[in-house]
Amino acid sequence: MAGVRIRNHIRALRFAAGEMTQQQLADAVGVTRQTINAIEGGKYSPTLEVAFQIAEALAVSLDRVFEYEPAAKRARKP
Amino acid sequence: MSKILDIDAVSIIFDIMSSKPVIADEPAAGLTFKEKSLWVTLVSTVVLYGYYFVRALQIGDGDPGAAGGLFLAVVIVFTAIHVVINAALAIHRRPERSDERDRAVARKAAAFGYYVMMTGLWGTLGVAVLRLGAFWFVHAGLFTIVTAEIVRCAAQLAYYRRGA
Repeated sequence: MAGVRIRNHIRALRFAAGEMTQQQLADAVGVTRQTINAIEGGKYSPTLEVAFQIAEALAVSLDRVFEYEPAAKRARKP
Repeated sequence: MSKILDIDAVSIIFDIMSSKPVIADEPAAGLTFKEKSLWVTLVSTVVLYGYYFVRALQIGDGDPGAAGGLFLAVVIVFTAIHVVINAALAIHRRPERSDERDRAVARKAAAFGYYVMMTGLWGTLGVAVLRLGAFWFVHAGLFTIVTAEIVRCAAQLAYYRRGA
């Protein structure tokens, strides 16, 4: 998706956190599995509150979960 | 050893097997209760109100009672379809709770419906100014409401699938 500027490492971090499923993460955060699926797939950018809750559930800091990719950096990519 | 691996270590695993990720993607979620319910609303609105508008145009403004009776029948059938299908869907699978994404999708889709509603309202006012009669004024207003609802539902479904 061209419009997405925020990348995330949720999938890898779920794996690192004892192969946590999307449903388990969704339950920990208080959203639906569909929402976790959409966030992972870059189809939805969560609110700050949910972003922090995801980081807390994965026991890492927020900047390890989400990564902002500036437009200039994206443009340089082939 | 900590249960949580370092993100760099995980990245290395991905880099080594870059063509084949270690973790398979979980399947994309199928249609949720909300999406199914939206499809029911969209299809039933298009079919039932589409039928109503075609029949109302055939009836014309000569027999307001016939158009009114038909409209009442359409509203009753529309409501019955909604109650029965939504109840069946809820029995088949418990509806998911709403979260912030649902609210964001609803908010963005409502904006689309609003633009259609405003455009239609101006058209309806135009019908009033042109003094085309109560039949055309009422149906222009009704057509505006129905079209706005169709656009809202379609936009909501698109946001659920393509991202909000």
